[in-house]
Amino acid sequence: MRLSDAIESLKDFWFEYRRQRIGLVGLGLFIMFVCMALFAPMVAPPEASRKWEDILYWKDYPRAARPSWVKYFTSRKIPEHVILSNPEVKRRMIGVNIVELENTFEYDFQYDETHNEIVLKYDQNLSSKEPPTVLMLFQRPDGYEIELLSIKASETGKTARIRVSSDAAFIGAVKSFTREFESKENLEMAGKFFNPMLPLFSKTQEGMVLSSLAEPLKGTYRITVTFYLRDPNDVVENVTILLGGELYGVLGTDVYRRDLFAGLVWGTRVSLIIGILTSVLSVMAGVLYGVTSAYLGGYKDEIMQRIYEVVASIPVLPILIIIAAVYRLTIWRTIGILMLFGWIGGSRVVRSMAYQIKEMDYVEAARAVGAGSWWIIRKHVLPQIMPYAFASMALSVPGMVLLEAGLSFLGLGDLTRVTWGRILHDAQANAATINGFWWWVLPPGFAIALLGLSFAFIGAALNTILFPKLRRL
Amino acid sequence: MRILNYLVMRLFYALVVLTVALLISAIVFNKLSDQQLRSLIRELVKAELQQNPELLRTLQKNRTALKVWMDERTKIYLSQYGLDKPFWYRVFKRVYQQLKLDFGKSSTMISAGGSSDVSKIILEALPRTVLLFTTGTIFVILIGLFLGLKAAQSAGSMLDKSISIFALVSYSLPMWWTGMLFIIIFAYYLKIFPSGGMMSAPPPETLLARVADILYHLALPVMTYVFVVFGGWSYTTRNVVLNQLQEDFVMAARAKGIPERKVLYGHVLRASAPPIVTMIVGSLLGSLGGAMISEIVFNWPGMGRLYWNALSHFDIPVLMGNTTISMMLFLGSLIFTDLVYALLDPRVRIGAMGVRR
Repeated sequence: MRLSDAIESLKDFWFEYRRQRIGLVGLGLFIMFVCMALFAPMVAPPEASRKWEDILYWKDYPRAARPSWVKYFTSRKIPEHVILSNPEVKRRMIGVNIVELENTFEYDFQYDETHNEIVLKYDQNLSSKEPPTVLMLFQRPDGYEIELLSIKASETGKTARIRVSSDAAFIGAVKSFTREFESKENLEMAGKFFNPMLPLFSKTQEGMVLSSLAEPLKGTYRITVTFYLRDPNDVVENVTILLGGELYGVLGTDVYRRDLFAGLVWGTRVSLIIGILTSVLSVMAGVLYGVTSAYLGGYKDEIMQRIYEVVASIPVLPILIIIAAVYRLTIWRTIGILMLFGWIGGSRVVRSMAYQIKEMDYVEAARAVGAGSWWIIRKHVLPQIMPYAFASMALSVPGMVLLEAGLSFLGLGDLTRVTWGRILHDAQANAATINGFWWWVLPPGFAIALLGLSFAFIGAALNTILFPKLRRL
Repeated sequence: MRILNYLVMRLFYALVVLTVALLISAIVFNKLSDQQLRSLIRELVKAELQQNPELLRTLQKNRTALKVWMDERTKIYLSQYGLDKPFWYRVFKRVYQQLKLDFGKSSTMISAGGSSDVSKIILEALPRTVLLFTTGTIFVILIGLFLGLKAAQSAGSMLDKSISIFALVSYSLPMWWTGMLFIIIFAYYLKIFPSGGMMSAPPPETLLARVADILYHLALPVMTYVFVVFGGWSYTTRNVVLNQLQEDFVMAARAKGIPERKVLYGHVLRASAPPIVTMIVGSLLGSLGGAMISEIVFNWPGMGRLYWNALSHFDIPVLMGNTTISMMLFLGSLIFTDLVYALLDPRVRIGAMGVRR
């Protein structure tokens, strides 16, 4: 077949395909997923997939935050995850060898609920090997000042994080601040579950420590972070303050603070690769098996068909669970073990098709003029079988995607990459459904269903075009 | 007695398949159980030495004697556990044990009755899976047949088109995820159904209340199962029935003036049953797998959740035994559908019972 012929037949095919509405929907969805897979490093952190299990990597994200577009559907303004950076910096020497580094942040707080945590983060290069002392001053819009923290930082690594809101000194400072305004009963009621973040961002009045009574104090807050360095050569820079919120990003975060949008986008790659490769390879293996069986005929055909029957009735799921439990699966191994049972899909139909073609007059004629077996298979048998093969490739993708997702859901998938099934595994292990973390559960499942659906649609359209007799949809 | 012959043949065939499948899993498992047994033996030898202080004292003076003694003990244990036998011997022995349903003892898990016998643990879970699966399937059969017939009757109508589309959609819907979705909707937001488990804690006093409680807990899993599976069944039924409607006997029946309802539910459904059963077999096994994974979501204490627990404890005897039993369950339902087919198909039956009908 020459190139121009190929282009011509492709054009004809496209002309037919264009009129299949569900086929076009399927193709559109498929292109969307391919784009997601291709642009994953651009729309999501490039390291997100490899670092998915690395809890430290996700430290700076909020915990179990809802998607940020939720704000358009709620009457109360829920705080987003806010990162304060680029402070006003003042540096001066005080005394011998002590440097005072003052960083001032201004933050306009306009939410109806308070942030849930404060994290101070900075980069340091300490030539004195001694961590600086940190002082944090909180100036509220109503004029009150709270000294939040006056501690010696303990971290000496390059990037230091101080989880201010769970620091005992901080909690003590806020508690003593509230004592001026709050009644004894309310303080007792808050008791052990005293949440320092609440009074920090609330109006000074009775009830400020109780979430049911506290009113948010809106306005501009000034936060001053002062470092006292032990050596003039010590460097502290990139000071940022993270104010934990309940809304983040496109799809929110899970309880391990992982960005679920990044997981969804990166997971597309795994599902696409496994779904497509397994289907294509298994159907090709099935075609090969069917054609060989039909071509050999006689007792060899009989034996091959008995083998086929045994493999076809082996319960796939239990045996896949066993294999996956013993051998740690990677993407490639997953493809391998799915193929182990996937080839049976179309091989029986292929065999009977090949059998019919083999008995045709033109095949006999070809053989009479001296054509070899391989030539006949290549020129007469395969071209007639390929359309069927393409349709069944598309139709077997959803099953493969579902199987892979099921194995990942059981915790048996590739552990070096994030997959949709694994996100749902973590959701299940952390009781996301019972806690109502819908943003953790819904998107990966929709993605699985949509990817499967796109191929089911494409397959149905192909069936309609290639086998007009079956025209049903 | 053709039908009995048929059954015996099917059973024999299932046994062959089971053996092949068990052989594969035994080969896969051999490596793992090897490692576990070897570390167990090391522990045993050490423990034995600790328990015998006199021996320890005499042996500690002489390094080589200690090593010789330990090697000897290890060897004895190795032969006791059969690890000195060749690979294939151990594989076949394991397959034989599994076929005998001799699963041994669990290393970490215990049944509700407090036994660590693997067969007891599995026997506890098996009926629960069967309950969930059969209840769901009965509903699916009823709904699927009804909707399929309706769609075939009015081919090309809105109902027909939406069933076809819905069948394609549910074809790619993970059942376990649908379960999570339903829990969020019906248990978390609407609070109509319990979010999981099989019984309230503490369980109700009377038997009747207890049954009602189980049914109440069963509702959401069954709803999920039916929701995901019925589309495919309706679509298959529709296609088969549509083909049958074009047959001559339908025209003859209509010409005789038999009411349409009777033609549809009597004649057409009767003739469509065998092909429907054949086409459904594959999807039935798929939905059994789906139902088992869904148990995890619903905390339904059947075989699927047993898998989840065994995997998190990495309990090999339970994993292996659970695999054997679930394979038997799969093959058993295959044989069952085959039998139903044989009973439904008049050709098989006439052959079986002579010219009685």
